[in-house]
Amino acid sequence: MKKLLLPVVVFCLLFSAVAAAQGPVQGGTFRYALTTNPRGMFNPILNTEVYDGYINSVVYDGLIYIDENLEPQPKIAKSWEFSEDGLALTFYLHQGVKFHDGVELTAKDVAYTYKTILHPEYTGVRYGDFSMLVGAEDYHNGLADQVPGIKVVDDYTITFTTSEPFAPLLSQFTYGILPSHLLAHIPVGELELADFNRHPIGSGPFKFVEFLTDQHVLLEANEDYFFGRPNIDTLVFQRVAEDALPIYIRQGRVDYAEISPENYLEVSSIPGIDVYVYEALSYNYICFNMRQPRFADPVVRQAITYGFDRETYVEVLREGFGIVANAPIPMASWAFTSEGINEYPYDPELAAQMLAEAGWKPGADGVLEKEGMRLEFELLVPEGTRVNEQMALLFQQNMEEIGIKVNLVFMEFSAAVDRVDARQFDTFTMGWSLSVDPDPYGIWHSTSPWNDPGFYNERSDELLELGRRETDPAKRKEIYAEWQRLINHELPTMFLSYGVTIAAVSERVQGIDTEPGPLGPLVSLDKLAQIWLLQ
Amino acid sequence: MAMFWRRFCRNRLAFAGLVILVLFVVSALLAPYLTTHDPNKANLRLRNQPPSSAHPFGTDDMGRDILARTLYGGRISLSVGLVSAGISLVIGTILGALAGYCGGAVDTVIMRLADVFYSFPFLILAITISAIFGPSIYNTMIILGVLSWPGPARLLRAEFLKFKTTDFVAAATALGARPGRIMFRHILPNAFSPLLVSATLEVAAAILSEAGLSFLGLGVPPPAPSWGNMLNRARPLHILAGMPWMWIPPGLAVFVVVLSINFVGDGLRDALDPRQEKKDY
Amino acid sequence: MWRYIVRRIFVQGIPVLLGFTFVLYFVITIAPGSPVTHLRGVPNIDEETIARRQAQLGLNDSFPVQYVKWLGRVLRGDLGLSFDSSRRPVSELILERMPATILLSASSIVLGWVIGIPVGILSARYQYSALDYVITFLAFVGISAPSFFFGLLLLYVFAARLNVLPAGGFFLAGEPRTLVGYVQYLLLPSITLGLGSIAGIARYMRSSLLEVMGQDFLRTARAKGLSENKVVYKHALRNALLPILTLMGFTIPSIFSGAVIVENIFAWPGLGSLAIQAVNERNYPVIMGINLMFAVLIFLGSLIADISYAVVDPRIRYE
Repeated sequence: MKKLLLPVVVFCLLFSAVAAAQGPVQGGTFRYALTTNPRGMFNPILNTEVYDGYINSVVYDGLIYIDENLEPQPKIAKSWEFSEDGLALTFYLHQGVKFHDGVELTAKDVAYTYKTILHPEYTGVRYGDFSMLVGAEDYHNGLADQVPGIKVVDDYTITFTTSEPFAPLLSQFTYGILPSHLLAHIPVGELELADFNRHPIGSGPFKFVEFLTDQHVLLEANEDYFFGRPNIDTLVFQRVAEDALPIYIRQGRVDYAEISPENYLEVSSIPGIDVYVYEALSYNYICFNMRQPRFADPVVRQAITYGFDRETYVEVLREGFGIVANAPIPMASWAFTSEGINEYPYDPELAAQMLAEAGWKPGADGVLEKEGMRLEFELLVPEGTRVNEQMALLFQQNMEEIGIKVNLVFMEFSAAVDRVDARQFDTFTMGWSLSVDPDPYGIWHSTSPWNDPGFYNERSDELLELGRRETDPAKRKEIYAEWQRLINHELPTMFLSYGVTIAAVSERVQGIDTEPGPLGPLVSLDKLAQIWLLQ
Repeated sequence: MAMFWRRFCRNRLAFAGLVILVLFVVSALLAPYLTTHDPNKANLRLRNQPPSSAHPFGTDDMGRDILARTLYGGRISLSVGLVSAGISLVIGTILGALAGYCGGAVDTVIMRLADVFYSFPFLILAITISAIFGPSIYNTMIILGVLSWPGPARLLRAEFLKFKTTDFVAAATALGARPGRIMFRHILPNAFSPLLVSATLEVAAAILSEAGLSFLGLGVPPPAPSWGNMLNRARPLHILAGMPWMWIPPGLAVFVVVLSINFVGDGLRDALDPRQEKKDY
Repeated sequence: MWRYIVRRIFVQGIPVLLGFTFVLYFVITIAPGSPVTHLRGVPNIDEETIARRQAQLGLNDSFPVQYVKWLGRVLRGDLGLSFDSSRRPVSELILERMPATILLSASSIVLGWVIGIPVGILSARYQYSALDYVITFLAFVGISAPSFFFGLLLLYVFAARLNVLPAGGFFLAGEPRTLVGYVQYLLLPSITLGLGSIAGIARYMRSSLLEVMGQDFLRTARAKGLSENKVVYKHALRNALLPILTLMGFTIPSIFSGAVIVENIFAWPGLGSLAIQAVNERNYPVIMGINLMFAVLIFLGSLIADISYAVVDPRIRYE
């Protein structure tokens, strides 16, 4: 038996080597596992669910796309340039790009797509991304019927203008371009009800075929794709039960799946499956309500951070899938810095000492007190994620050791968000997923509605304003480095860990990024147009 | 009574069920004496340990002792079962008695209300309400209790209709007894047997429902142990396959307790209803 | 008969459904969390966009106004538009998932009957035999097992270990929809869902048959010299099956409820996951639509059970 096996193995190896050497072959079906069902809003300016976005990103192409290093790269726009003053951004489009119905895509379609987002009756959620365009606000509020900030120069040239430099602007032009010839006649307020959204027509590498609710979305290769026909014939987003995902992978019924850390060992032991681990653009945290006097002193927040064993949290509870975070810009971003960042290593004695020096003394029940304030507070934990629950338990125990009493309140997610929005919390734990541009203004500026801790710091606001105006990347990096050091010292929230994503990919899939950056082995889904399958 | 007991004991399954049930209740009550471990004390160095002498049932993914969690979880699961069955019985008894005794408009309104509750898709509604008011032990008890009163109510109404026309009620009325007295002193005791049987089944159903809700993360919230949420934690395949000690104790506990209650209920039915003696064991 | 049906629907059904929807709508609107909560996670979203959405969805109205508007639409046959980004008609969301839920529920009911009835007959036919004891015991086991966990174990054994059945879900895209395929996908979820009713029906069948067999007309039949088999299968069975029909009406609600959990475990493309998703997102029209639909189905189920009871048993007449 053993003797027999060896030639077979060699043959297989040879075969796959030959296949690999042959280069891309056409054909086959690629199945991407989804544990949550897409909703069926296949319109890139109207969808809010991430899985609908998956379908949109292969049916439509944007002006640009973001590569594995998070750099903008040309797509429908073959190039672009900023004006001298950094206010005007001009895209030059490829000629001959065609929608799936054969009509050519021109600057008119681009203008339609972005003007619709600014329209007063627009029902989607992207207005905030482009509200800085010249005249956008007036148009959005119905005070003007044109947007001076969007100008079609000719069929293949379009210029977007902002009133002041806005550094993140370029990276936001990734949304798929809609065919205006099919949509312009529909009132913007009714666009979300259009049948088009269920039968999308874009210019992307795959044509939409069918959407079977709770089962799958089926797409086929676009034979006339401007950038070359995809190698795979069929692309399927297959819905799979979360509990059964490892079985699906083992049975070879899906080729690609994002898996949870607890399934890592199980899945990585499956023959024929490669598992990739990469940093995601996300982090989680415990937020302090700084409106409460007891959390107003940074020493308290720092001591709590020293007193929580975040290394154990990441190494044991997250099984090593994560990186302890100390500031809100993820490691994967170019703006990340570790220079001058305090890592707050676990040190309960230091924590206790800091609190004692700040005047906190144990009360009758051992809980620290100072001037009528007590270090007994609630931690609001959204239900449903096991690792959150474990983290909360660990936090509770660690805090008890330094004289702080934490009461855990588990709540269903929507209800928890309600409490946070009403600022009725002491502390809570959640996470943020971030966009490609590191601009933290939206979460951290004192005027932002999402500034949950109630953090106000003059210098921080100043840096955030500077940061989004600065178009020189090197200078911008400097600004964000200083800002990270400031946040790292102030700790309006305790940062827990940067997220990590785990992808399981069948070995028959060739042409993926085997050293994936934050966008994964398929670089969002961009690589789907190039991968091929061993037959 | 002696007669009843003899009958009941003759049903071997019922008797065995009762013994097992008593064992579970006693062990839940005596949990602190049966284990020295704190069910909520996490110890990350001892995660996912298979059974050993220190931890006879092993430990879970937070290093908590499974035996302790199963015992303390029994307290919660059993009390959810008892309390919610209690709630549904109290509501059901009062409304059912009123409907049966008063008849007329009162009967119509109450029975229509029972229909409303009966037409609720039970679990979907339980999920809705639990998600909305936040999972908690008390909410679980109330939801399960409030949603399942129509069963006992219908039963009691039927009994009342049956007894209302009997001579001894007529006699009591003639003697000037007040309606409340008649309802609860004279008729209710006669309806006791079917009520008791339905009570046992309500408890069994409530324990299963609690487990189902907690399994979906909508019942008893962590970190307090309940059999349902312990099972919920065993959902991932690697635990199901590789760490059976995490789900066998709570799974078996739910199963055995519900089985025992069903046996007891069956035995009660036979013992309390001599007419059916030959029909079942 | 027709008068009875009409009365059941208009005097009983409609008021019950009205009361049900009123209570439910009230409960979901007073709940914490709002249908626009999840928009908070969208990058760069501004408060105004959320406020606009809230107004657009009619969430600024008070509860009575919202309910009356909803009811008005429902009476015109319109369940409204889903609150999620797809804005699809609720009726469409429900209708496209209905077949799967009905398929699963129906097959587990059929399973309950096909297995439950013969087993019950055997048990009664050989009363007090070892077979009877085993069946009775197993029936109790079936009633007492937590079905959701049982389903998970089935998944593990048959899909993960033995690799003979798919791990839940429904046909893959492009997979031919053969009868064998249907059976393969249906088997585990419908056993999980049907476990309780198999056991219940078996026990019910047994006691029903035993009761009938003690009756006079069967003694007459026996006295006439008919063989015991003939007595049981020709005469007793017909009469014993009657009460089983009513049982159907009672099992429907629990089957539908159970389907929610089973669908969740097996990623069955039915209403279960829609229901849970809708609740988590406070998608009012979808929550209302699903609950209303189930309530109607349950009502119809009990009505049909009553009617069929009357049809097969000429002694029963409804005025």
